[in-house]
Amino acid sequence: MAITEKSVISKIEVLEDGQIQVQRANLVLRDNVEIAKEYHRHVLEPGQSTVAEDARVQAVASAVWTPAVIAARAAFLAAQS
Amino acid sequence: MGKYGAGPYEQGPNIASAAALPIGAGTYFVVTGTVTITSLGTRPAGDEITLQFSGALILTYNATTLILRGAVNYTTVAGDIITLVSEGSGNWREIARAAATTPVNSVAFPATQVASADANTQDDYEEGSWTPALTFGGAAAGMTFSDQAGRYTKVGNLVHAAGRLVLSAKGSSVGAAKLTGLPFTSANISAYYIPAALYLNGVSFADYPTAVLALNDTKLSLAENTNAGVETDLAETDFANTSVVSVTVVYRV
Repeated sequence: MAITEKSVISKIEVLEDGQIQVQRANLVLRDNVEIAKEYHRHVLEPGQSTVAEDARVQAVASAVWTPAVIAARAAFLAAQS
Repeated sequence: MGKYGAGPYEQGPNIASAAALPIGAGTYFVVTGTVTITSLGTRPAGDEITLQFSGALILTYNATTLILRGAVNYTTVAGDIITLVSEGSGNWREIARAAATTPVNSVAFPATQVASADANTQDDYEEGSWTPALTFGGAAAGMTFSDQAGRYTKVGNLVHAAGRLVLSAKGSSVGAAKLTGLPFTSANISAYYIPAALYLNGVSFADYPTAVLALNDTKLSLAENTNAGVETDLAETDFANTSVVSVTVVYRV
């Protein structure tokens, strides 16, 4: 019986204005069968650095975050403050 | 309860999974194997059968011949049980399902929310962790923490998030203080500004501190409000290198 752990990006959600909600699943496996799971979440703002992100998150951000999307989000936040 | 062949409530022989699943005599069957099922054999209208699956296979939804809950395919796991009623002519409709992986006295939601627009429908549940952080003027140069921990529970469109951070160095960034890292973006509803419950230690403020989450955002703005009604942003000068911030907020997404 082997107990192992694995961490995977389990969900990438793109909101209308380009924010990206990322769900990471931390899994505990017994003989490669999942026996426990915990989620961790964070949200990325358009234009934010993605250096520390999973490659798939980087790819989504690269596709979604056009200059227009980044500018629109920045304008929204500026209007909020 | 309908009946057929061997009589009411009697178990029939095991059935090997097949694209067209033959239904023999009996009302209760164990389906073996992992072959995708796209149709079931014919029974008189009103007959009910119960299938127990011994492995993972796909029941393929069809709007006429195999009407499944939610109008989507169903991937079984060993031990799952499903009850269907015949509508005649080889057409079947699911009327009950018991998932083997659902603990007794629990309600399980799919990992991916099936969103409902109905105001009386509970459509999601999720719990997990998030990492609270702090910025001054939108940056956190040189800032470090000795503790950052947060937990959340999402029920439907409501998120409860609680977290705590302890600075070990506040760094060199300057400007308005914001607590960042909430697990979901707040709802984009006009004039939606949600106050949070706040605990501060090692942070200076005038009269009372506040934390507010704006619409369509994941950051709490930290401020001080005087008894005279003047609100000012908290900033790096109000924090020490060992300041503690704890927060609890409930908001819609």
